[in-house]
Amino acid sequence: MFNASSRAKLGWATLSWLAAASLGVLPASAHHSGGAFDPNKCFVFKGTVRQLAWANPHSWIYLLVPRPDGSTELWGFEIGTIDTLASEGFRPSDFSRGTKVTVAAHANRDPGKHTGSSSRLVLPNGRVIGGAPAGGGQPVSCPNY
Amino acid sequence: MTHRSRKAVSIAALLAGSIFSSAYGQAVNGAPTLSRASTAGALGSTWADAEKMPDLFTGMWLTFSGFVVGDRKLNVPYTAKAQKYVDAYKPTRDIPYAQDGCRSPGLPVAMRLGGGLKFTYAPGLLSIYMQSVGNPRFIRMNHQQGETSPKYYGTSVGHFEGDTLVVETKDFSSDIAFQYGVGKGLPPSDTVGTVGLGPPPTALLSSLSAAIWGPHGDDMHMVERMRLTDPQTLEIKTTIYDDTVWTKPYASTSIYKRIQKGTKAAWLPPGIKLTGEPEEWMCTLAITTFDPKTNSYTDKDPEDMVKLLDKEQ
Repeated sequence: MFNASSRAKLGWATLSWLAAASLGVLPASAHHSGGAFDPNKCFVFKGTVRQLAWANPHSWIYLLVPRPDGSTELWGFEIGTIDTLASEGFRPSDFSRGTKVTVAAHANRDPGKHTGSSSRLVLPNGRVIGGAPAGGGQPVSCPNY
Repeated sequence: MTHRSRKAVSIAALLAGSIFSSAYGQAVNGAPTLSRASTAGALGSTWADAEKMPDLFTGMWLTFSGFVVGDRKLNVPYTAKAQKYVDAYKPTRDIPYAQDGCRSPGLPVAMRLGGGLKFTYAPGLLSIYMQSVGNPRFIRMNHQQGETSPKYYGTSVGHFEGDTLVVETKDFSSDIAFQYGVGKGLPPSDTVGTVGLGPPPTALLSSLSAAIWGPHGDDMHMVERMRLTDPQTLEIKTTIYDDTVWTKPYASTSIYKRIQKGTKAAWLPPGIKLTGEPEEWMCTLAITTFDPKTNSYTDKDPEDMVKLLDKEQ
């Protein structure tokens, strides 16, 4: 979208707009900076929906993620605001229990916590939430969890 | 609005301004304050006035100016007490209001966040919906403040001086997120994470930690002067008076751009749709919260959240 050099050229004011615009159609503020999550620690999780919190300031999706030994782990991922999701045509029913989803997410800085911030979520019908990074960060590789 | 009607507005507003120039006195630190003079007939009192006021009402306004980086060069001098506080201040990774309970930061910050502002009018009352916090603030026009009590958005009265809407607000809750100024902040590696749908701009989020937050005095109050510098641009000059914190008023200027359906701008990423229509922003569940005392984030445990969500269904 734009790189570090264009960031310097654009200046903070434009960045402010971009950051705001990335958060919604007419955006609400970033109620937190996302500092809980590590921008350099990204994994791809494949699991089934256990629960959805359709809420502001951020919706969250909870997945049961299978492990190689056959057990499952519960993971929670921050997704968009209600406005962001609704503007892309999503409703809570798109994330009903048992739906298989793939999430690329930045994991919590604390390895003991099973939470992350989704940068790309794919539903079984191919619909996608997210995609390209919304800001100036370079994409990091995301191995399978 | 036609040229003729703009001229009429201008004359009416000037007349209104002249009424108020005599109706206003000087208060602490030079802030204007309403006297008990009659305010009948001033702009903002009748339905017919809706046609005469500057068009603050079409579409919404998005800010162009940040409350951290935008204020970096202000360097408003601190009182000795506040300087001592600032010297001992430890930067926080985030805005202190990003906490459990979805609490608003209150004014003045709520006007300066990245969300949209929507102005609406009824005789004697201007309202500004601040989408960033999901709340409106109310400005009684041509009115005396009278008795007040501490509130997150204070108590506001307004009047027009020419084409400028002047709003005086006083009596703020002690719980608001009150910014003293801008310091050095933390290194980006300590602050930058990810938000929702991808990594955010580094410069923006690392800047948040540079804001210095602290308690305000009981008499803290502010005056906002709002005017259109062109049909698409709203300038708000905000002057905050608190002689427990600063030896001079804290004066900053924010620029807002009018957003309507189909507004296009070269700086917008493709696919971003701007409607110019206000949207509900009901904050109900803060799953990630920030504790400024420990400077750390807490995510609610997924197991606990699933139990809670199961119970709600």
